[in-house]
Amino acid sequence: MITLKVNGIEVSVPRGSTILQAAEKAGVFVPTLCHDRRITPYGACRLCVVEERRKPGSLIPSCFTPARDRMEILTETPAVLEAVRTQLQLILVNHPLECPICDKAGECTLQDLVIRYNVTEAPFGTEAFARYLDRRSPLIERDMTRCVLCGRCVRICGELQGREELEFQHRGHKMVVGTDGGRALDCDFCGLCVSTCPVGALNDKLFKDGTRVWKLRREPSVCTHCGLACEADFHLEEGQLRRVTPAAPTGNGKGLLCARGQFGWRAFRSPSRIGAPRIRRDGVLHEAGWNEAIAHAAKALDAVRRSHGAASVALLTADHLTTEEAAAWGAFWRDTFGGGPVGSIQADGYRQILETLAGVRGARVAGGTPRDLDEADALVVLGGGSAELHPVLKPLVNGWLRRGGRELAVVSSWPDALTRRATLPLTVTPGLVEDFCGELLAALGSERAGAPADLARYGIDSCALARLVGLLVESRGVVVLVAPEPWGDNRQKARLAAYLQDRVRAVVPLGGQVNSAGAVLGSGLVSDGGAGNGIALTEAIEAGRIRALYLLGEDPLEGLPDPQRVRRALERLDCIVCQSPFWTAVTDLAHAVLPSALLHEKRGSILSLLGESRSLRPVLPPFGQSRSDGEILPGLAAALATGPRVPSAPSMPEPAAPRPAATPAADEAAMPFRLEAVPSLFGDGILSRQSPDLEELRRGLRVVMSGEDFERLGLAERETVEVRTPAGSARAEAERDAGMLKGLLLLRHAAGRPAGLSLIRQGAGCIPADIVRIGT
Amino acid sequence: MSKALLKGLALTLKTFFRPPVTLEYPDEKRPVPDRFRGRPALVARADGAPRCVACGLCEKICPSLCITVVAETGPEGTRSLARYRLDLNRCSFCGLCVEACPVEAIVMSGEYELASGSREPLVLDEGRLLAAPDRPGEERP
Repeated sequence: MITLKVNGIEVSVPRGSTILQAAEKAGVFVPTLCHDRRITPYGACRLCVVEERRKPGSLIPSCFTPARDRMEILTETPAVLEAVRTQLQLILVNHPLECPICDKAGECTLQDLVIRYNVTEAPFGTEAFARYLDRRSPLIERDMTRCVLCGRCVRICGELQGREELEFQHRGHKMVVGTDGGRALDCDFCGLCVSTCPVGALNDKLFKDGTRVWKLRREPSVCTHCGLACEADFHLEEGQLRRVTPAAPTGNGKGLLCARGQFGWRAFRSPSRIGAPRIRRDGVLHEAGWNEAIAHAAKALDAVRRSHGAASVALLTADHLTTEEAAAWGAFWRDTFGGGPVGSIQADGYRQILETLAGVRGARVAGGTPRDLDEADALVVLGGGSAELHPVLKPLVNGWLRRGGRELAVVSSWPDALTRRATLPLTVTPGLVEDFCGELLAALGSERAGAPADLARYGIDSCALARLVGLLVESRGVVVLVAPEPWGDNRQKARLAAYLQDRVRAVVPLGGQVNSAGAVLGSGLVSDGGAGNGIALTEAIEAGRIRALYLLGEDPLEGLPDPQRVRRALERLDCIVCQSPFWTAVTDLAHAVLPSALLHEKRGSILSLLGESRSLRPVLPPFGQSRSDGEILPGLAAALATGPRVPSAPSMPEPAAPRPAATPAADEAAMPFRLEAVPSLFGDGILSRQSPDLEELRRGLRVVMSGEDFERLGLAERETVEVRTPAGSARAEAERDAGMLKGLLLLRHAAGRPAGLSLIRQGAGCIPADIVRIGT
Repeated sequence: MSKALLKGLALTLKTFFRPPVTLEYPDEKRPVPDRFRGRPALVARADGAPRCVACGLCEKICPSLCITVVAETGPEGTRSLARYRLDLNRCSFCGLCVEACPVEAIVMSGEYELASGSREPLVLDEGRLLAAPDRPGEERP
C-alpha cells in the first residue's frame, strides 16, 4: 500500500494503482471522457490532467499514471482548470451541438463536463465536419459526426469482446471509427460499444427517438436469458420498459451484457404472451377464468393419476421459476405425483452434469464462484459452444486472459468463440468429444496420465494432449467449465467433471437456464426418471409409461429433434397442461393453458451458474391475467389434494441409458459432410426466441462451413441452400467461416424451427449431411 | 350640494363629446402588446410542419406539467415530433417553455379568448396549437 494526498485528503491505495483511482477513493472528482474501468486506460482525451504540488506547471494525465508514495496531487489549480477548459473547447470544435435531437442528452459525459466547466462558447468558430452515418446495421446506429474519438468502443470491442469489429480509420482530422470497408456491423451485437460511448455517436436503435433519459426510472434487475443471470439495469418510463443496459461496473459488478440482455427485452411484451387462461372444450381452446382453468387441469390430471398411477404424469420445467417456487413445486410434485418423472428440455445437459456432480458430493454446492473464475491460473473448457451458450463468458474470459500468463484449454469439435482465444485449443474429431472425455477420464483415473489409446481417431496432437493432462493433474488453480452438447449425450463429460471436482479449484457446468442452479441446488427440483432427455421422453410416451405432461414453460415440440415423432407422441397423451408465459407450438395441443408470469414480474431469488445469488423484485407490471408460478400452485394443489391418494405405481423399470435415436443409414459418398447442431449466440431458449430483434439477428436457420467447401460448392454469400441429412432436409442460409474444418457443417438456430429440428437426431452428436444448391 | 351636482354633470357633458375609450367587445378587439402572453402556439416551418424537433425541453421545464411531447423517428431518420399535447387547464402562461425551446418552435400567441364550456376543448394537440390566428412571432425567421 502507498499513501498519497489528493487535494489534501490522504488516501492509501495498493501499489500500481493510478492517480485517478486514488482520487476516486478520496472522493475527488477528476473529469474523464475516454476512461472506462472495464478496459485498460488509454489517455486519449487529456481531460484527467492533474498537477503535483512539487512539480508545478507539469500536467500529468491521471488515468494511466501510477500513483507514487507521498505524492501530493492537486486537481483544481488554475493551470489544470485552464487545460481542461481548453481541451473541452478543442473537443467541441468537432462535435455538433445537436443536443436537442441527440438521445444521449441528459446522460452525456461531454455535455455534463461542458456544463460543469462552464464552457459557454466554441472560440474556434469552425463547423464540425460531417462524417458518415450508418443506419443500415441492425440495432446499433453509428453517427460519426458526434464521435469524439475517445476510442472506448474500439477498445472494448477488441479487449473484452474480442471481435475487433470497430477500428480507427484514416488519419488526422479525417479519422473515424468504423468497420473494415465501411460495411454494416456484422458482429456479436453485445452492445458493449453502445454502453461505453460517452456521447451520442453509438445509439441503441430500440431506444432511439423514443423518450428522453430524464423521464426514465432505473431499476436494478437481472437478465434472464441464460444461466449467468447478469446484473442489468431496466429503464422504465411510466411502467413501460424502454431499454436495458449493463449495470454500472462498480464493486463486484462486471458491467457486462450480451445481445440477448441488451436487445432481447422486447420479448417480455411480445405478441405471443398469453393474457388469459384457456381450456380445451370440444377440441377448441376457450378463454376461461382462473378457477375454472385450474379445476379443468386438475380434473384431467386426476383422471390420469387414478387410471394410470401418479408416476405416469411427467413434469418438465424450463427453470424459469424462482428458487422458492421451485422448492414449492418440487414438494408438491413429490406429494401429489410421487415417482412422476421430472426433467427439463432446455436445461437438460446442464442438469445432467450438475446432478452427477451433486450426486458425487451429496448436497454440497458443486458450482464455482465468480472469484474462482477471476483468480484461476488456468481454465479448461470441456465441450464446444460455451461462449455461445453464455455470451458474457467471452468478455469475462478475455478480461481474465488479458492479465497474462494464463492458460485457456478448450476441448471442442468445432471452432467456437473460446477456441479462437485459447492458448491450448484441442480440436477433437466431430462427434467424438464424449468419447474423448471418457478416454481422458480413464487415463487420468488409472494414473497412467498417458495418451488415450488411439490419438489419431480424435485428431489431437499428442503434445497438446500432454499439456492438457499436465494441467489437470498438477495444477490446483484450474477451473473446469463443462459445456453440454445440445441434444447430445453428456454422461462422459459429467463423469469426467465429477472426477475432477475434488482435484481442481472448481468445476462449473454450463448450459443452464436462468435458475437451473437454484432449482437443482437450492430447492431440490432435480431431474428424475429421465424425462428431460428427448429420446427417453418420447419413448416413455410411446410405451405408455407417461400419460400426461405438465409443462412449466417448456415445449417439447420446439425443443426436441424429430418434431414429427414428438408430435405423434404428444398426440397420444391423455392430458397436457401448459403453464407458460408464451404461446408456443405445444400450446395448440394443450388441454389447459395457464399464463404464468415472467421472472421480472415476480419476487424471489435465483442462483446463477457461477454461484451468485440474486434477488428479484417485480420490475414490470403483471401481463394480462397472468399469475406467477407460485400463485398458481396453491389452487392446483388444493384441487388435487381432495381425491383419494393413489399409491404411486410400482417403480418402473429404469429407462435404459439414453441411446442415440435410430438414424437411417447413410451412404457415405452421398453425404460427404458431417453436420453438428451448435448453440446460437442469440439464444436458443424460449424467452430469447420471442424477441423480434434477436430473431432478426439470427436470420433464420444457418449452416456454417469452411471457406474451402464454400468455394468448392460455388455458393454466394447468404445463399439459401438445401441441407440434407439421413433424417430430413431443410433450407438454410449458407455462411462461410475461415476457422472451420473442411467437411464440417455447423447448424445454427435449429431450436424452435421444425425444419432445423428435423435435420438432427437426439444423442447422435454428429450426423452425415450434404449441401445441395437450390435450382440445380 | 347643487355645486357638486353641477360639477358632476359638467364632467359628464365634457366626456360626452370625447371619443369613447371602450371597445365594443367582442365585435371589436384591442390589439395585444408584443410581449403579451396568450396561449402558447407552435410555429410552423415553410412547408407547414411544426418546427419542433421533439427534444422535450419544454415538457421538462414546465412547472405545471401541462406539456407532453412524444417523439418518433422521422422519415429522414432523425428525431421528429409525433404528438404534442398542451393542457390549457393546467397552463399558467408563464412562458418558460418559450424560453427553453432551442429552436424557437413555441411562442406565446396573442390569443386570450379561452373560455370553454368543458375541460376537453382546452387540451390542445399539435394541430390546434399550430392553427392560431394572428400569432405574433409566427413570421419570425
